[in-house]
Amino acid sequence: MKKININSIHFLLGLIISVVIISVGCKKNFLEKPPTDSIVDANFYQNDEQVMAATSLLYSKVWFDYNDKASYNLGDFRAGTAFSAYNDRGNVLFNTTDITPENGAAWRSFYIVVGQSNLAINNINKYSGPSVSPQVKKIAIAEARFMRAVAYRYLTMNWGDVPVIENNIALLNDTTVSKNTAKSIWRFITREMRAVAADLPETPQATGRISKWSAEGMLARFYLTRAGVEATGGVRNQQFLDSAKYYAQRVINNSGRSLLNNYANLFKYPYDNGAESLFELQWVALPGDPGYGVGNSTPSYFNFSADMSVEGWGGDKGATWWMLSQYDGIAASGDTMLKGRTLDQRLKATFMLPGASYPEITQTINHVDQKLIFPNTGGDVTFASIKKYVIGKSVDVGFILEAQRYPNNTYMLRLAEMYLIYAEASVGNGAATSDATAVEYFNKVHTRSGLAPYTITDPISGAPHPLTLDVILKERFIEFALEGMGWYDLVSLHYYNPDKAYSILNSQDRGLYNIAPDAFPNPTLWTFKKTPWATTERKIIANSGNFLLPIPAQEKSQAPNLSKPAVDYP
Amino acid sequence: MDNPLPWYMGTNGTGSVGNPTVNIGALQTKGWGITINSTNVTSKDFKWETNLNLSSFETKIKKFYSDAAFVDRTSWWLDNWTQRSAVGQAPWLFRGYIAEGLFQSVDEINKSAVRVDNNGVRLPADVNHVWIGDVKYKDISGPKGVPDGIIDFHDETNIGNPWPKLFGGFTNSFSYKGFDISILITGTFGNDIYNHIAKINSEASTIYTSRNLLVSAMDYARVENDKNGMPMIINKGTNVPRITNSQIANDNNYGTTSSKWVEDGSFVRLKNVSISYNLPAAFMARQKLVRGIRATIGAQNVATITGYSGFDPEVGSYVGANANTSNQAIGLDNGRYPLTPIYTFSLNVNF
Repeated sequence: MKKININSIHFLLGLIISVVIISVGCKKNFLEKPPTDSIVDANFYQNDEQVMAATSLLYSKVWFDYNDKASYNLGDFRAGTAFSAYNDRGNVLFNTTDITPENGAAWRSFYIVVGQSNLAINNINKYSGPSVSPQVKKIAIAEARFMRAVAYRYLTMNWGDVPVIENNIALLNDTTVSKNTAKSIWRFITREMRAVAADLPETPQATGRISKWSAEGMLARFYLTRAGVEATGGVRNQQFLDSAKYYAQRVINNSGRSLLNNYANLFKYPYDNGAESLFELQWVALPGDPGYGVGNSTPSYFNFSADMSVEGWGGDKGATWWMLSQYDGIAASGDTMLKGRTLDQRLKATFMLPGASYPEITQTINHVDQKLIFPNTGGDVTFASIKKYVIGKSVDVGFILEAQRYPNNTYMLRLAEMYLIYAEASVGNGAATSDATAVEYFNKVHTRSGLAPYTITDPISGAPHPLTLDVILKERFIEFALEGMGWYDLVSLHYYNPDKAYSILNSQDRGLYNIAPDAFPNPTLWTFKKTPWATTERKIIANSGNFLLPIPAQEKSQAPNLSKPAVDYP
Repeated sequence: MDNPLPWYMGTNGTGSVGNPTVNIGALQTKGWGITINSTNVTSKDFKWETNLNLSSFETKIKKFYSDAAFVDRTSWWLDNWTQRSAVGQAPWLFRGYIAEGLFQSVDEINKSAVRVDNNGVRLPADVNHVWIGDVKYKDISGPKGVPDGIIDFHDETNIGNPWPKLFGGFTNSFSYKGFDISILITGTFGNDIYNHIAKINSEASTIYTSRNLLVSAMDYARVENDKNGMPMIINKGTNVPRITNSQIANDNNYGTTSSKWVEDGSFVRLKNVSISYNLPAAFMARQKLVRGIRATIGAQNVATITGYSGFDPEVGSYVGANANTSNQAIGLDNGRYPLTPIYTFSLNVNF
């Protein structure tokens, strides 16, 4: 009996002690302790490497849905630089609606970039531990702000007024967000990019990461467009034109970046993060499930055939008639024929013409491998298929390629644009420029392609022949074709001279044609003829009613707050 | 559940931010169920038993724990098909426009609400924009809460309810001497199905993709001029839009979720029939080896009575690519493999 009692007392004591321990342990912060067996926000961001890893996502996967198809559907098809004969016809014919898939995909993707950037900033500020160096913390936040500003540039150029979000967490239950005016968005992103330029180092922290020069290059681009955004009566803002020149020249002189000697090498695998690059989306080829979203899927849609890569959905894609007519030496002969050859090496590096050979790409025909010579299929309809970003087969890259998981990067900003920005800003509001630096810079890009330099006096007649906006615009269309740029050049123009933007678009021929080489292989001359029966759907009608994209229907439906009038962002 | 957020929150698509898991609201379900078991006939040789169960429920969302007036669940991989939950209604009702047939004349287009461009200007009545043989939608509302002559998201409404008003099962068992017969009939009544597969297989403009089409797609609207030179549909009465290359028209006709594809999903199905026969004991008693023999013939999913035009009214929810447990499209038919009839024969020999 006694023994039992002692045991009971021990038991009671034990119970009391445990209760005391438990109650001591159960302070509120006990519940907020991060787990130690898994990675969560609160135990990540503990050293420099982890903070840098957090921002590395912002260079690839978050842009995937944009890069996938919207990059060229909006950036090139709508601009008329390239087309698809049987698919994506809404975008090709400038009839992008509020349910066109690329409209929704691009909108979602840019806002994923915004959301992930905001979260990165928030988490680094909130959770980064004492062993994270202040320098790395500053750079990581600057990277996220850079991405966010670039995404907002795309958003406002495509949709005009859109909501600016800097803190997604604060808006979780909010149903009142308004759109912000395009003008105030441009002010916001310029302000952001200036701060980013101050925070980023001159030398990137690692290959492929952005530097101060990426931000200043982006500032040159922003200021050039913003000069149009803030135009009065069609006259661009001179201060912003000067800023564009200033930043473009700083990047040219100080970035240590240089133009490649051979334009074709910009796109010959491996080309990633080369001397000319200022900002690229960083794709890697990982097989299987983990590889989806971190590899580049755009080449899937560009490859003209599965016999020269792992898949080919680009059989009906190629240069538009209008695009071909832009190259020096390819001249119209009547209304329905183009004929000629060009010294411009960019044509071969961008589009494939029958008979052109690409020894870096292997083609398998009837189980026999051979160096690719772009076939001459004949018939009423042939295509100048896409070469840019097309890198061939597994044997060509040296490892096993998988569908939609290509390793090659997407250019987002490269040095050549700085030269052309400087030249365009020099023309500014005048009719033309004879500024020696502007012409020199223009020629850096122009002559790199194998063309003779542009001269401000006509070499034959001696008459003045200054550099005009039209010449620079044409140069941009050729230089950046299929890099998702043409459309944004037109939007930039539209800000201060909408009629000129419409007239460029409405003059373009986007219809079917066929191509005949004079010899096969190694032709020296091509003849392009409009397909006789393809008389409709050659031209588009662009006007103020369809120029910008409508906000996706689903988004307007699930967020009626977007129908409120836009307000200025502070 | 995952909090569905607008796309501008960056939670939709590849590499997106994960939606937060939230306690989003409260709902109330009321309903009833009846089971009747009866033995209709009992005699020495014959027995007939019946079981009937019927149940019905109604779910209503009482409130959301946020400012949201509704939450949408959008399947952007299914042409942005959307289900909406709003306070005071059943959860996940189909959302879309109300289709009112096809435009028959230019006059009718001019008198009807149509879509507008970025400037709010009506799309012109021509072959590239709005034309005879395109689907006409009902103008329900506008920014001011009244019809405004413009077809846009203000004109979306609830077009279907995936929840049955009544469902039940009906079992009859008969025994007569050595025979046992059991018949199970099941059914649901009053639920809607969105026939997505009929929608995508009716678009005659996509014939070039070598896809199979429904036979009814051949009756697409043929637009020709009448004797006065006025365009009209010559195969009057058709409900299949015209064939066109215009993306604007195709988006209107086939890219838009509408009541056109909502069908009544009620059905009565002969789910299970089985007939068994036990060899009589007297017969078995003649030998010592085998104590009993029972033979059964059974059939499942024998016959279905339904007004639904798809393969199978028991569609459940869409669980294909891109769907996960938090975003399945409920009551949408995307060509799910239909239930197959199963015939069985079994022989039990008891030693």
